Amino acid sequence: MTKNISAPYIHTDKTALAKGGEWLVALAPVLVWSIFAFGARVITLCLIAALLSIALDYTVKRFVFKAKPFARIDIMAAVYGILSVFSMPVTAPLWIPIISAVLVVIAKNIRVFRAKRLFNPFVFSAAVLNLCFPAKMTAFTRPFAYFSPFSFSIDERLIDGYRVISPLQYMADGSVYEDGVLAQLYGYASGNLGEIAVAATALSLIWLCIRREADWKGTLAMLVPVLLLALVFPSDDAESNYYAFSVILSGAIVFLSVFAVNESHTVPVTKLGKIIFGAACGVLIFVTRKIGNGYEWGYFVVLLMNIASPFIEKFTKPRVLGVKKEK
Amino acid sequence: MILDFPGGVRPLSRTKLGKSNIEYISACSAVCIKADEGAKTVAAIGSRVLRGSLIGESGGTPVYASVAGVFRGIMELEDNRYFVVMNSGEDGEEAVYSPESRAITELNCADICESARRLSVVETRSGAPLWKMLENANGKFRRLVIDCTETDASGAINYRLCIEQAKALVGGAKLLLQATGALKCVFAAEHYRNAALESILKYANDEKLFAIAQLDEKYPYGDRAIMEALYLTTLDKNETAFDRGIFIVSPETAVALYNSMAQGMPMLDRYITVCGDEIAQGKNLCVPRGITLHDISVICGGIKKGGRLIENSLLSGKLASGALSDCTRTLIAAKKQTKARTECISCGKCADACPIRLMPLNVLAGDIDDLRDNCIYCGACEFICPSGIPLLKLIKKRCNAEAEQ
Repeated sequence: MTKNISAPYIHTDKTALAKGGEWLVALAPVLVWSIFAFGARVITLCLIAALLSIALDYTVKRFVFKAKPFARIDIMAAVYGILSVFSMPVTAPLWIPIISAVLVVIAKNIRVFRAKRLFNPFVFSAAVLNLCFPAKMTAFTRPFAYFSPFSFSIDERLIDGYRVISPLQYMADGSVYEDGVLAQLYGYASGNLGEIAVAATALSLIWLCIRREADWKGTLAMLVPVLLLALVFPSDDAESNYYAFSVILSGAIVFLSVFAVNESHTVPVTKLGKIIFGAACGVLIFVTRKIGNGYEWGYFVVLLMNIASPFIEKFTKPRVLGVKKEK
Repeated sequence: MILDFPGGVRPLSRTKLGKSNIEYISACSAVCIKADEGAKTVAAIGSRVLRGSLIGESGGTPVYASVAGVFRGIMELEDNRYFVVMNSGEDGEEAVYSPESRAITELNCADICESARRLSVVETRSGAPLWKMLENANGKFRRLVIDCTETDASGAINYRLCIEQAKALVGGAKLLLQATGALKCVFAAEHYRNAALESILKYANDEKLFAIAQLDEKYPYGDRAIMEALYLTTLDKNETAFDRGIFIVSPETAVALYNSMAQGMPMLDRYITVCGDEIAQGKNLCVPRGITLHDISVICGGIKKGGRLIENSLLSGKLASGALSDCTRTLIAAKKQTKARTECISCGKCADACPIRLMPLNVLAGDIDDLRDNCIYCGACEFICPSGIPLLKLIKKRCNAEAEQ
């Protein structure tokens, strides 16, 4: 026994399980706003995705990876489940979160390079759903039009009654959302459940930074290039400042810059790597928005950068102290 | 200003022993003072010796009995050789040398070096004899740093020494300045230990000669951290602060040098903190050099079942065995705390905690090139890991496996 004892003799009281708790708290402001704007159906969608994700993740860990009992439950699965719901419209039929939970658990357990995840689970789920069911994923209705939380799928005619064009879809047409930047900031504009609540997302970021789960530098590195590029390449339809802020606040840019850039598994571990990752995402999202037509390309950009992240990490490895540079 | 350095981990709690005075212990059942291969005995084996009597010589340094008793010669215990003196109630002290009568400014490097050798003063950060470090030191050093930081967050002995022995500490610093020819002496301590620095400044009021430095509260400290924080210099691999002209000693060394020279008594005592959750009563102690761990645990009320004494640091320290070694400043009674291992969440906390900016999580993917060559085994990464991954153990295992191939 004596031989097995080795330093260190103490450990921090922080655990990996507690990380899930921190993230759940971080999701709370967005969730609250989302429920306020879209009604109780949000709760149903989130519960389905969260509970199913945890259950499926448990099953995979228990039977596929044969993990030890304490390592089977991962609250992060629920967090990813809820985040995947955040990138759906409220009109999504209830089978969509079931699929998203499956996709989340698949992406969560795919491991490649250096035992890291290949894809960000909730971004993967959102991207696949957007590819497979574009009509269902872009059926935006105006906020404060509440739908029944229990109806399995919502009648097309009912959706059409409340259907509005989201700021991102305006942009695809070459015009700009007209109700003002503030409406987009607070979340009165239409769009996906979690993505509209930009102000609430900022609260989440603050919480995550206080708990040292997130690095604001990566988030900022993603937002600043978008803002600058939007100022340099303005739209003919609007004043350049208004356009630039409207670009940032529409779609999933802020949502991804907070929740995807700070997902530790799929971004580089190094600080510089995180900044490069964020900046590259920002630039690519802007470029794809200019070229592509009104689609939410952010998810695909993040997935692309996820694949590149091990390489970014390799190039941004900090210099080891005390080792001279080889000439 | 609080000086920062790369890496390191913040302690979970601060020590409660900062307020308890040093307890002076003179009696113990036996002392075992470390001897090297070529050690010789001077006193006859089986003879009665007094505290302070010359009993032998080890590596050119005389060895004195730190307790009165019967000299048992050199014994081998657990792969180490020790001069052993057994005490069964004897008492008595003898001073071999007369106190130093000259003023500090009249002494030169050779004088102080010779005194340090005669009085067998050891440098308690490394456990090496002070005189070997001071040999030919004159002119080689620019700065003297008295490292008043603790080896572990639970220790408080350097803090207590600064408060209780401030005069001797500053006197010792002046002696060392004289010996090394350094221009300035810096006292470095954790930033929240203002009381220690203030008490030093009461005696060290010459601004040209003395300065204080407040370091960030992070562990582990060490030569590397001090060089980074104080001089913004990165030590190269295998390089010591000595190579850069910085002479770093512990406060205990300065105190011992001053007291020994002032009283003509060899360095017979060691200052240690005994603490930890698994010991009945944590204490700051002044004990005879080479006291056995058994005696220490008796003084502190005994170690609880399952607890073990760990040398210096809970992050990287070894299990203590046999007798108190010369480089131990903190003894911590602790149980091995195990943490359930879950999968790596790539949080990067281990990379942030690494004092030399390695990426310990790379060991999981088998990429150990940097780790094998540079890791200093400080244990900070394993401490901070929220997933409970035994990183230090894995690194050691992988590096050893590769070395064997």
